[in-house]
Amino acid sequence: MYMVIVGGGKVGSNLAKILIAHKHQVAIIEADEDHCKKIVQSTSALVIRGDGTEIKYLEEVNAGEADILVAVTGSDEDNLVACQLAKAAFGIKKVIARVNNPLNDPVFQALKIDVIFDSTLILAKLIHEGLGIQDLINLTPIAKGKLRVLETTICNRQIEDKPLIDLGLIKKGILVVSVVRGDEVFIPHGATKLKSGDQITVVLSPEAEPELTEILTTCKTD
Amino acid sequence: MNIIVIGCGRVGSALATILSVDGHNVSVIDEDESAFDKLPQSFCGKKVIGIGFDSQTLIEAGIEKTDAVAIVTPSDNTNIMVAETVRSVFGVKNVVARIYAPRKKRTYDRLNLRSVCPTTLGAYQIYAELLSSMVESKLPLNNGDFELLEIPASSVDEEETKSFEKESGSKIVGARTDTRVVFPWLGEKLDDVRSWIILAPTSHLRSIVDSIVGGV
Repeated sequence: MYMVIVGGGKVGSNLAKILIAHKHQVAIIEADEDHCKKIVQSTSALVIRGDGTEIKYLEEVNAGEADILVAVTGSDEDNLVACQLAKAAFGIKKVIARVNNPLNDPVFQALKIDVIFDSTLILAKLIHEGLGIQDLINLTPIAKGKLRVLETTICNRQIEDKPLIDLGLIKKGILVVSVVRGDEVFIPHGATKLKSGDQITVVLSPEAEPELTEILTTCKTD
Repeated sequence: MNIIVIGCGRVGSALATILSVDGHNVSVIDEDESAFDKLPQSFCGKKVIGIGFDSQTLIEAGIEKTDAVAIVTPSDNTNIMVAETVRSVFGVKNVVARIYAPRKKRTYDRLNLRSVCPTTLGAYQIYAELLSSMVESKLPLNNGDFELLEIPASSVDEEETKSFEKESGSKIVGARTDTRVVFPWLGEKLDDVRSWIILAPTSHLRSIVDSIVGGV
């Protein structure tokens, strides 16, 4: 396939390398001269120095023949305009855009960009996963916000053999009120042993949240 | 009309003021609150702080009931992104954007965006004034393809107007007297004409100057 990449920074140039390794034809439009030189040295892509939001440069890479256009500059505006032009002026069937600011996602969706990569959000999610912390889902505040009801998933295998009462949660202001384990739903008591993967509902004071995270939802192995 | 102006720089603030004075219901959007300082004290439109392609900001400015949107932020591509949002998400049809870079004109045209490029207009206007101190540029038209010029009556005799038009490729559309502008094509009398108002293709600017002063 023939692919046009607008933006030859780290994302664009590495994408080009991968695509070329998979036997695709690649052209890159990049405004910065130094970036262009680096791409020329390190890939066999056709490199055009210019502004990918201008018809002139899209014509230079023969964008009308492209199967896909990918816009990965650091500017959301530029990425959007490149994609819009690709569709309106060159009839490219599939356009892919990188979005740097998650606030702009709705605009890209509204304008029917085929694939949207929100680089900031993806990175944030990956880092979050890497931290090994399960999401705490806020269900509702009660007693004027002095207490909160949360839902989360147990991820600490080290607590599996201990009865709930031995975890010292009550003292820290954390009350586990329900457990969902597979199809089973029950209300735990002091002798209940929680298991990794259990979905629990908890009532707690907001100050106790870090303790909850540490004891129950930070992924630890035996 | 209900009109939203996005970008409160020199052009945006001037435009918003003109619209407001003319009795339109105006909202101005800018991400920088201090930009609104450029509006006169008497400005009675709405000022909204925010980004032009943010739906919440647009709704706050009244996009759902607006008749027209003018987009005049300093970035050409931002203007396109705002225009596309306003058209696609909110279905506003009457949208005009300003372009700075004349080479971006094609981009706007292909996206069917109405645009005005003051850079090109200014260049043509200055060119017309430079060619001769006798020529006064009144208004570039159609993004600089045509221009309304004013030349002194002494440079073209009344009997010679036809040959002047032919020679210079332009058209005399009005004549200024001491008190008003008269229009020969309405059959109005041409007494005490001080200057001619002519419509000329900018590509003929040189031949016009040549006709009236015999070359530069």
